[in-house]
Amino acid sequence: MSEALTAAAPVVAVAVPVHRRGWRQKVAPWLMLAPSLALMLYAFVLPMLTFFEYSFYTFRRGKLIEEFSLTTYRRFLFDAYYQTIVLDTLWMAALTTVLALAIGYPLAYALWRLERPWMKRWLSLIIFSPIIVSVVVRSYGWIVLLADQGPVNWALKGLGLTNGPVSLVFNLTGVVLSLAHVFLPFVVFPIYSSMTRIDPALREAAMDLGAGWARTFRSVTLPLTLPGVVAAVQIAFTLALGAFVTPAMLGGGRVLVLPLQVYNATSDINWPVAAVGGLVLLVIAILVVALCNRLLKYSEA
Amino acid sequence: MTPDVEFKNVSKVFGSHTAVDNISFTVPAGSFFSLLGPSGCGKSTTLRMTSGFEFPDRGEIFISSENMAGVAPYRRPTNMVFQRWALFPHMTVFDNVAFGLTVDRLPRAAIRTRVGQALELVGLSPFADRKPRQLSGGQMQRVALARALVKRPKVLLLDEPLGALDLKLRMQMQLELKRIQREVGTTFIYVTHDQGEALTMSDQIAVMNNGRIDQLASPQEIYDHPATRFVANFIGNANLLPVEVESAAADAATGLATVSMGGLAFPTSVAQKPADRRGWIAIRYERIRLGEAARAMPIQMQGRIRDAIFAGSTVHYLMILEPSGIEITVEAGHDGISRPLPQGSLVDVGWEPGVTRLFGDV
Ligand SMILES: Nc1ncnc2c1ncn2[C@@H]1O[C@H](COP(=O)(O)OP(=O)(O)O)[C@@H](O)[C@H]1O
Ligand SMILES: [Mg+2]
Repeated sequence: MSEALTAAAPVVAVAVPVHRRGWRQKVAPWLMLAPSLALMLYAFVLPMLTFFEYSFYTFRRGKLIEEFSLTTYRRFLFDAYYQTIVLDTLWMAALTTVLALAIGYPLAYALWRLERPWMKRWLSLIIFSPIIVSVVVRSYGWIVLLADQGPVNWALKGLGLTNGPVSLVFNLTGVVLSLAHVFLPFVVFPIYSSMTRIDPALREAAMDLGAGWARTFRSVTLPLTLPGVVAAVQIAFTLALGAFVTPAMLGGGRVLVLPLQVYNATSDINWPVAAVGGLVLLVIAILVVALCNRLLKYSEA
Repeated sequence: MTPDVEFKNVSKVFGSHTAVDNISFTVPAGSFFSLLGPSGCGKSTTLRMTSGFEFPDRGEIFISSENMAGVAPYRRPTNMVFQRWALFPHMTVFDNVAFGLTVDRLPRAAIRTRVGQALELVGLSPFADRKPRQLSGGQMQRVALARALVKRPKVLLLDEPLGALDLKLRMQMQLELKRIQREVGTTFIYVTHDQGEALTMSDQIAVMNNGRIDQLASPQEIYDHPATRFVANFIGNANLLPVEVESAAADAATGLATVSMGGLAFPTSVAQKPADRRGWIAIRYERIRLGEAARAMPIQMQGRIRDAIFAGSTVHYLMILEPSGIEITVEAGHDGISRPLPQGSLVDVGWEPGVTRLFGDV
């Protein structure tokens, strides 16, 4: 399939006469898209179709039964075990998104308001740093930081905020903290970019009309940066949905989210459960993206 | 009248560049005051210091006799109409205009009435529910005006508010602005680089040049009696002609000095006393008479027509004066019947002594 596409490409390019530019302009984008389309087809569409097929089979006593059935779907929808996994996944993604926003928005604001270019550069680098570091290294870092005898707990106790150690790792807290950390750049930069698009005269106009800093922020800056916030939510939420390594390492086996469940199912060669799990993830992601796009359109109207 | 705004020796420096250089002026309450000058001469900076977005490095600013040092923009009795209007894109016309009043926590009913009145004033009542991007440039301009006026400021500051409109609309808005100013009686400080705008609307014009005020006077005074060469050049069309100064001291009776050009001596009114014998006179294109009319003038010479440019209501003649050989441009009215004077012909040229202004050689 992919070979046919790429092979056809040069033939088309040669056959176009120079003067028929209109036609050529129509074809050129497709030519450039061809490699990625081929890749998508091979690595995404075909596996998805296979998955789709498998999702209608059942797995019983270690055996795959290749007969059409909706059993696996039914189990995902109505079995409390799977329901919990889906809800936990959504909960974790939501918490992560909220935390990333809570930290990321002020950071974006600071980055926007900083006057000196060198300060801007350093702050950008700091915001970028989590994705420069390997996920494994970063996760171990968080484990050390958040451990019962780690510096965070030590500081909490030192400040007299707690008596015993607070469990911050090998549970949902650790996973959410670590994920929010790595998603920061994906949250900060869309928001920052929506801030730079605001005409500086708008804030001056608000102040000129009697609004102080807080009122100006609430009535002008915040509403006009909502598109950036929605984009950030979209990215953070969908990334959190698919996160695998971080929940595996920092969840300590206590945070069972869909990607982990899918992984476990594949290692049990339980293809139908893995397939339905994957499809559920995909559907949730699509719904979130669609919902966000709706919000975006609404906020721009 | 009490001054509404007073600048006392105000300077503003950006880095090494002096944007506003030791300016002083007063704006009488209720007047239409224009800051006129080319781009980059410090008009916006002056306006922004009045509104509190910039603070002067030296000098003091008073609004209603109150020193504005350290007073934030939102505490000043001024409101601004911004250069590109700066309407809040996510709010309706109504909410834009109401913004300043909701910030002041006025009762809802009072806000409704006042916004209604303001929209009425600018003729936008039917557009209250629209978003800014559903409006034309002229309408956005009116919203910006209503939004600022609804706060009933002592002083309204306008930064080239008509700059983004096309010519026809600009002319129409000039009249409208003047009407609104008369109706509300607020002091307007109006920034523009368009001399026509300043001349038609203002009670007083401050002509700025390189951060300084070259002249502050009524439109007629500025047009008829420019104080510097810059003002003569910037406003209207003027010939700047080199002259020999015969007697710089103005004659006690007439107030005129005597200069000569190509050996021909004649009187002129004085703007600046030249330091030595070299000086310049400025004379507007349309103040020079030709032919029959010239022969009735106290000052007469002759000139050869090098070129005639027809411009509809007027004809511009490029001429060489004789015997001095100096080049001048003359704007003569066109009556719709006669032909322009032919090229190469020698015609009489004349003017009144009062229409030329003498400047020093700097
Ligand atoms: N915030 C600023 N920082 C640096 N230079 C500025 C700033 N604002 C204005 N200037 C400079 O000051 C001068 C006057 O600017 P401005 O008052 O905006 O002129 P105008 O409104 O008459 O065109 C210009 O040379 C401009 O580049
Ligand atoms: Mg300006």
